[in-house]
Amino acid sequence: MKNTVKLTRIYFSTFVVFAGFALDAASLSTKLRTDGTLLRETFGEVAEEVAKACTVRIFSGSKPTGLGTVISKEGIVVAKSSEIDTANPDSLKILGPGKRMGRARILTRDPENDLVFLDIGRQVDPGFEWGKTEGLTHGTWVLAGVPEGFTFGVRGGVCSALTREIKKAGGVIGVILGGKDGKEFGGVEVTTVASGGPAEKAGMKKGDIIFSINGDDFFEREKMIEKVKSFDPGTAITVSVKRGDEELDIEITLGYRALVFSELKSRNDKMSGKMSVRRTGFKRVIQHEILLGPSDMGGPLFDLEGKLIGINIAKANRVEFYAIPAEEIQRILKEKAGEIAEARGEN
Amino acid sequence: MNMRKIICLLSLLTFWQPVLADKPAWEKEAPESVADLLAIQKQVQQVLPKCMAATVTLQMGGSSGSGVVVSKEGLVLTAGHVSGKPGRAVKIILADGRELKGKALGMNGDTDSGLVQITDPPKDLPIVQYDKSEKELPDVGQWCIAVGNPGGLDKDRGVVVRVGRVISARSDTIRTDCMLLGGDSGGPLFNFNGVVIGIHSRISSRPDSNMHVSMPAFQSDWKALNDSKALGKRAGEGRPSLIRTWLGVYTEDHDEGALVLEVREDSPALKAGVKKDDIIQKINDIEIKNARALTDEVRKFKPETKVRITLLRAGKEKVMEVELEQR
Repeated sequence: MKNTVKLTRIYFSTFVVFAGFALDAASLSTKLRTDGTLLRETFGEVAEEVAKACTVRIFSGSKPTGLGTVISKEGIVVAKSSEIDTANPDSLKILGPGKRMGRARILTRDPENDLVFLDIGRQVDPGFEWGKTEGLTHGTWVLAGVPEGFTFGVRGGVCSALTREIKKAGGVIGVILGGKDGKEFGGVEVTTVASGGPAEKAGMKKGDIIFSINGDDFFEREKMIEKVKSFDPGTAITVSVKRGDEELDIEITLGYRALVFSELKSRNDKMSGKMSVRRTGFKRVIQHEILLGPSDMGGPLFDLEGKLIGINIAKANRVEFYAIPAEEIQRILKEKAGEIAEARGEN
Repeated sequence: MNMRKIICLLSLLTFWQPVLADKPAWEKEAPESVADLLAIQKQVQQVLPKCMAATVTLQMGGSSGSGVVVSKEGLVLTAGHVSGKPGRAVKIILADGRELKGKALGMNGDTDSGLVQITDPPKDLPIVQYDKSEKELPDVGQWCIAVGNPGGLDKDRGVVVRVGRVISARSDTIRTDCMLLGGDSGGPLFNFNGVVIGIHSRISSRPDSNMHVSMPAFQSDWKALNDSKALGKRAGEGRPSLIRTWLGVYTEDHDEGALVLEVREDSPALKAGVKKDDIIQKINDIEIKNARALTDEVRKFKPETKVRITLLRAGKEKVMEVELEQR
């Protein structure tokens, strides 16, 4: 839990002014703000048509699970994979482009970048040209396709940091190893099992002494944590524990840190409202500041020429958003072409 | 006014203004075209390299914040709650990764202004100009650039840049719609000429409405800050004075009172049953004429005071009891 302590200290400088703070006469009218209606109209001139042509909404049954972007005339849609992880594949539906609602089929996934490719089963004109992200830098305007009533519109902001890799945060089993450890002790003691977390679900108990992960022995706390973190959320691992005189092998499917330890959120996280559950582990992302919700991920990102320069992939915190650059999307699409063709052939 | 004329003239010479040749895009009410957006982008990117180079990360013990270098001698403007107790050791990390030694000078716990002195300034220290006005505040609607190092220095990410507009400006505090994060604290707010016009101070629960210390707030205490004095009621506590009594609604002016736009999570207002679109008209027998009055009146009560709130819901008057809380 050393990490948590450090985080709290780093974020000490977060200040909050709640209370009914008021807009008085001398304040900028909301329509004139960066996210106000007047600017949205101007952004709309650039990309509203193209946003309407390629942005879709994905549903699992009747439950909305985020956005998607049509990326080919054959009706292939790209979306954020982890958002539809739990959906029944037979219940997936896509609304759009336009007002058409239809069944969608999963073609393939790209777990590395949290992307999923779907087939909407009809030919469509996505209406965009691929753009380039090479010259994209701090202060360059970017526009995101977002739902607006029953159709789609755009919101704008600037590219706010260097395009880069976001390292994986790794999975957690949902325990606190606050007790004894070491070779002589023979393992690492579990002092708390997070309620509702993966370890609890798998039957781990307070007082269990973990001594092995996937058959490899670990007696030191730090090394054990490092080992667990090397696996992605969603991976199943075998954890061996001593309980009294018994030795048990427990299979645990790792969870997302942010979900399992929600009470340990940093102050920034608490101020962030809802964020994307999967928000780390991307090969390359553009960072922007367009105020979106986690359910707006999977939608398109355009430049001022209305060209597609990325796919929104994560709301990292209250003000930072990631998009996978167009070049990466095209590369992955090429890489997955065989799988996609095969999946479509089975139709 | 002369300065403005010069700026206009300069922009006329340097930028193509298709619609109104005498007014740069960022001085219009709002950008009206792609050309306006491009003109704004061009101006931002012209001044940014200098702004980014002068923005630094400050480390004190296990915590971090941002700051901006404003003199060759190594003076850094930051937030008082970042620099903290005068005299304490501060590590300054430049945008290019160089680490320098320094110490906290003065701070004002009420306005949240703070200064740090780099003790070993290199000859090529990147600096920017700052607004030395004693009274003049940025105009409402003025475009600005927020730079900072939220969460400390991240070399792969670099400094983070946001563009926005001034929402309001009162003596010590400027509010903008620049999207700030905790840890941006102490970082600089620039105008479109790359001059510092504010220092990031407090974030609000709305991501696009945050507070900055004004430059007059620095100027009025300039000598004391340089003399390493801790000012304000909460001097030396490392935190600016916060509004203590909390109702927990975000409101705007309405003909009949204060219109509730949002009720906060876990707030006294929520517990009492206040809803979005309610129009708050009275606290006890005090009439609430607008949003500002509501804030002022709430602040006059001590936390844990029970008050009666009279409001209009769908045209009908309702009275509810609320126990105000400490925030």
